[in-house]
Amino acid sequence: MSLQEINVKIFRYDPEADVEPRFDSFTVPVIKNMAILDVVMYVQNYVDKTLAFRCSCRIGMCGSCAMYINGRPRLACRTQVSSLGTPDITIMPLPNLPIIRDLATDMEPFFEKWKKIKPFYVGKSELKDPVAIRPDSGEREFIDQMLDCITCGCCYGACSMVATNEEYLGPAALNRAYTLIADKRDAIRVERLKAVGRSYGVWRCHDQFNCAEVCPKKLVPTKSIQQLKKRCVLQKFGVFK
Amino acid sequence: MLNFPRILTGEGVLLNAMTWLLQRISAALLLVVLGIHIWALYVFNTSEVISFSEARARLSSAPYVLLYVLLLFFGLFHAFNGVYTVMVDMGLKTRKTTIGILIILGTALFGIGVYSIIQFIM
Amino acid sequence: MPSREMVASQRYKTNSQVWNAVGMWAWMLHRATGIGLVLYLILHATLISTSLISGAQSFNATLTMLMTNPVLHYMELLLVGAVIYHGLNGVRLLLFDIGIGFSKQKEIFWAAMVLGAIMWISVVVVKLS
Repeated sequence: MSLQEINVKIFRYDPEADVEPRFDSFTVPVIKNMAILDVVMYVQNYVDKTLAFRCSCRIGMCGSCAMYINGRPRLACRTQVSSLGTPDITIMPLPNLPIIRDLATDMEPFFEKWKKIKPFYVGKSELKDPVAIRPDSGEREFIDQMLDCITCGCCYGACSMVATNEEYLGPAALNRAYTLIADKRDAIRVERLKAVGRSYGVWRCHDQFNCAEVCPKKLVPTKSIQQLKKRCVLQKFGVFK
Repeated sequence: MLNFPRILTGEGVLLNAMTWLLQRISAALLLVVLGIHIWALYVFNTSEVISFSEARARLSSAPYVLLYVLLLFFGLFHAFNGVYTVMVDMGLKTRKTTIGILIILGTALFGIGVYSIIQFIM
Repeated sequence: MPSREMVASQRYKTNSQVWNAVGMWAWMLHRATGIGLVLYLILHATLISTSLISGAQSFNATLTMLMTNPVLHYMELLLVGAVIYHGLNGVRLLLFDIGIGFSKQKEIFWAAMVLGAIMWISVVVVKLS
């Protein structure tokens, strides 16, 4: 399918000037290998300079340009126009996050929750650096996959449990917690486990897989959360220390 | 206002992990117990309408009585814990009061269920 | 007019999720059937026990009234469907809880649905024949 032009509907809202959000329509000429990020850049460069959105690396590493594109959160830079299979494209800001302006959302609630699980490694004091985990031990097999998270917030915007309960930590933070709790060298695993075991933690996940569905890194946070639930229960029986 | 120990307030870590586990255990049990209940009603039921004498005949054996007590207890737990989960998902703020009301309601239903079973046995 | 200084929860946000994936629909239907079954359970326990207060005759009378009612006869098919769905999707969720099937969640869902459809249709055939 080769498109000449696409019709783009873009969500517009400035909380300090507008009473209601609105949609603006633009017609954008298609270039080869055009990504959604190129589309919004075209609009900003040549049509409406006031359009606000966020981006940085343009190669799917930084996680800045997550937007709600044709019915699901995606990274704008990694979403090819041709992959959507339609000339009608609707671009909205990431759901579940307060809007700063137009397509730029405030990631603060997301990172507040990220902080709650203490997202940094704390080494056990008795261990002497560097602590080696043998590559063939299998211990890091699942952890290593889950470390690929770029904190773009796609999963957070896709999660309907975040939408209905704004205290819920969300898939990204819980996935990060899992990578640390599963690490045997970590000193504050039990403390972390208690943080995610509260009612606004892992228990709000009901296996909907929206997070896994939209993750640009193809992670499955649902599985990390299941591992955390299991460890919470084991910890109650004194098996997990 | 009812005053429950911290463990029962829904914010306690213990309650969450244990109710989650019990919800799974009761789910697995209900698959069997509810299965037998439905099977007994529709497959072994001879007439078009279930009659008192048939129900009494079934409940005259101890395993069936045990089955129905299990069904009542785990069914009610699964149901009311499910309702509570839905409410917390929707951002429930008054957890203590809600748990109190659900426990009272669940106990009352368990009571009338046991009453029904006794009526069949007597 | 909302400003940037307002608390995050009070500022405007959109709430659309992933409507074209099967996982969320599976959950919504699980919730809906679950709530329906709770209501049925309460009704069921209350009806059976109140009919037993004045003994066998009133129990038989109540059950005859309920089980010969044509509308309730068809509504029972809904109940059967809800039990089958909640049960089979519940098995799927239990599989996840023991760590099985994360990469095949959609396939497991549709397999459960095919099984459920076969079960439900056979109940319909038996009941309507």
